[in-house]
Formats: sequence, C-alpha cells, structure tokens
Amino acid sequence: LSLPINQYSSIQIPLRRRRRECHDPKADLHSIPFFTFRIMVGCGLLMLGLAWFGSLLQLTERIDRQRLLLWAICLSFPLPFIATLTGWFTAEVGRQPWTVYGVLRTADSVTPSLTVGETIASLAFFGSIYLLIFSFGTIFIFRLIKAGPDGGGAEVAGNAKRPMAVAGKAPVWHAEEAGW
Amino acid sequence: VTTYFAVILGLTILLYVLLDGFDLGVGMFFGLTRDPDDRRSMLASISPVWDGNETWLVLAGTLLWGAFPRAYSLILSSFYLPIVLMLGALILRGVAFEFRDKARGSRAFWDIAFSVGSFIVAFVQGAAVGAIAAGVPIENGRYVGGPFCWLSPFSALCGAALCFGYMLLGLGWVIGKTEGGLREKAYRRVKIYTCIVGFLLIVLFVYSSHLELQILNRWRERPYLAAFPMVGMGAALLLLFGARDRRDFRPFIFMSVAFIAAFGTFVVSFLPYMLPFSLTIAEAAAPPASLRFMFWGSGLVVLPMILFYTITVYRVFRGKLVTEVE
Repeated sequence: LSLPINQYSSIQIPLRRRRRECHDPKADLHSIPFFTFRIMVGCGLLMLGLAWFGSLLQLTERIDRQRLLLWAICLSFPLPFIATLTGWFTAEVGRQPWTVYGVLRTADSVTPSLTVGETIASLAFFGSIYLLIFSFGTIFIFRLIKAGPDGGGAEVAGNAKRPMAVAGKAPVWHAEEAGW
Repeated sequence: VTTYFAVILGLTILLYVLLDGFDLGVGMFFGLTRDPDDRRSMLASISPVWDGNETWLVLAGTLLWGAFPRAYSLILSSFYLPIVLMLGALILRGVAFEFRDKARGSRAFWDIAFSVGSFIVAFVQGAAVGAIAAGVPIENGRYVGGPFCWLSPFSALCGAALCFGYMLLGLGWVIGKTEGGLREKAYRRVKIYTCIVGFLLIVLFVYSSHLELQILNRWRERPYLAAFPMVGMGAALLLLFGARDRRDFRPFIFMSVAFIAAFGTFVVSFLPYMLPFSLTIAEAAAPPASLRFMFWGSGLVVLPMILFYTITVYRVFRGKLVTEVE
C-alpha cells in the first residue's frame, strides 16, 4: 500500500503543473490516477477501521452481537484486491507519458522488435490466466466465508510448519531424523 | 566490480537451476504418477521450499536488470514470447499448488496445471539456453529475429533434455526425502532417465557439429573445457551404478554435480561473452558508479540475507518425510 502512495506524492506536483500548461485531450488521463488513488486510500482506511473497531469490540467481547459490523467484515473481502489494483493504476497511469519520470518516455522505451501480435498474444494469455485464477480464487474465498471462522480455522491449525496443508491428511516432517 | 556481479549472477543462475530444477522435476514426476498418496508425499517434500527456490529466478532477473542492463534488454526482447509463456506456467503452477487442496471438483485440473506448468517451464528454459548457445540474431545491439526465433529443432531438443535433466534432479530429491514404494519407483526411473539424458546429449552434440555452431570452435581453442563434460559423465555413471547401495542422498548430489558440470561447460565456452559472439560481459555491464552503488545495498545486505534464509529453510526441513499416523 505504501509504495503507490509514495510514488503518487512525488509526482503529484509535476502532474498539476502539466495540467495547467497543456490542454491536450490526453489530459483526461489525469482523472484516472485522481480517482484510483482515492479509491485505494479509501479501501485502506475502511479495512483499518473495520479491523480496529472489530478488535476493540472483541476486547470488550461484544462483537457477536454486532450483526451489522460482522456483515460489513464479511463483505469486505474484495477490498485488498481493489486497493492493490487501483494502486497499480495510480502508479502506472499516473506516470504517463514517462516510464522513468523525467528521464525516459514510454514511447522511447518500447522494444523495437516487438510486434502488435506478440503484445496482443501476451496480454490475452495473462488475461485468461488471471481470469481463471481469480474466478477459482473467488469460489474458494466464498467457501471459506461460508464455512465461517470455526470451519476454516480447524483446517489451518493442523501443523504449524505447513499452514497451507490440510491437517492430518498430509505427511509431516520429522526434523530429528537428520539424514542430511 | 563487474567481475563480482558476473560471478554473483553466475552463482545465482546455478543455484536457481539446482533448486528450482528439482522442484520442477518433482512437478513433472508428479504428472507421471497416479497414486494419490505418492502425489501428496511429493508435494509435501517440496512445499516448504519451492517458492523460495523461485526467488533465485527473480534475483537472477534483477541482477541482469541492475548490473547488466544491455543483456537484460536483449535477452528479454529476443525471448519475449517464451518468457511470457514461462511466467504464465509458473503462475499456474504456483497457484495449482495451493488450490488443489482447496478444490473439490477441480482437483484433477489443478494437478494437470501443476505438472504441465512444470514441463513448460523446464522446456522453455532449456530451449532458451539452446537458442543462446546457437546464437541469437543481433545486429547493431538490437534483436533482429522474429517472435519464434527461439524455437528450432535444436533448441527443442535442448528443452527436452532439460526436462529430463530436471526430472532426474527431482527424482534425486524424492529419493532423498521419502521412503517406501515411492522411493523405489524413483530409483527405477533414475536409470531410465539417465540413459535418456545421455542419449539426448549425444544427439545434441552430433547435431550441433552438423549445424557447425560457432560455439564448437571454443572446444578446439580451449581443450581443457572437456574436463567439465568428463566430470558430468562421471557423475552420471555414479548415478547409474551407485544406485544400488541405497544411500538416499547420493543421487541428488551426483545429479547436482552433473548440473554444475554442465553449467561450467556453458560458462567457460561462453566467456567472455554473455550472449555468445554478440555481447560481452563488459559491454553488458552497467556503468561502474551504478555497480558500486548496487554493491553496497544488494551485494552486501540483500544477497547474504537471501542465502541465509535459504540455508535456514533447508536446515529446518532436513531429514525424511514421515506420514503421520492418526
């Protein structure tokens, strides 16, 4: 989260200056980092607020009765994803038309031998991989949420050394047997 | 400083090949095994280390980027599609590792993604090495080949050879890490695969002299080069005939020695070039001021840290895999 913020604060001033200087239609691009940055920070604050408020209520043991808060936490699962994505938009759109701000223009940094076909192919390839992964990831997150904190917790607590493994089913390590 | 970074880059690539090599190999072996218990043991044997192994690829890329920017730009431009393909396969493979335990109906799909992804990664890496050895078409510091220049019969053979080579490393790992039926299966395959790799290497050698690759002249100029393949051959013979005495960590060691020998062969026949006969290490290096700057940060702090946690992980998870009885 901190990276896009730092990057943004350092380029904000030149961006504003350029906005005054030129009135080309590309200036509309500046509204993209404007909104994405605020969405990212908003997501961050919302997550912080939910976490802190929830912890506070947890300490006073009243969290079980806060149906509204519990629902809000439950529905907040896409926030980190949105924050990451908008953060990248802020950084990548915000620095255009530069690859390295003030040093190297994006137009000058393109690989000379790269063809349009290659670009489309790679974009489509990564796009379909992410589509596949995120669809399944969403399904698995929904299952975790549906199982609730108890259902998901038991699965994780099996072996501290392999937190991602399913307890009991998988082989575990015997460190004392020092064959190596 | 250039020499320092060249050595570090070489060691990083070598470590990557050895470490990710065995977990890619386990991934491929995984695809050729049907038994669900064997599959679980194989996954468990690499689960603490596989993603750590891949940081060495990231490190190698970063070192190229920071210390040898010209080589970075040339290699990534010439191998655009294969690198995209490799990254996609690495993503799928890594995700499959985590998703297969969460999946209900789609486990078979993730298992296929895991092993096919491993195959693709190994093949692309082998093909890229083959294409580099055969010579990348570069004129005036720019790549002038097409998008599929990396894929020739020669480089495809290199890709296949590396698949089997990585699989041998993976088998060595499985033998060292497991017991019982799975270990026996791995022992049986070691012999077959050693013969296949040996055969492929002979074919490659004959083929490259048929193609009259420029790189072969190096062997005439530097006869001591032959020492490396000799060491590799020795290791392979030990692997083939030493399998009987059942010291379970040995196959992996022998295989690593063979890989180090192969790597040494390439390094010595490439020197002083980074990309044979078009880009030397000195030409590829960043300005001395940048290299010195990088040396204090990454050279003295980050690298030892990565090395330290890598060693720690392997120490913590040393020994054999044991199935917990409930």
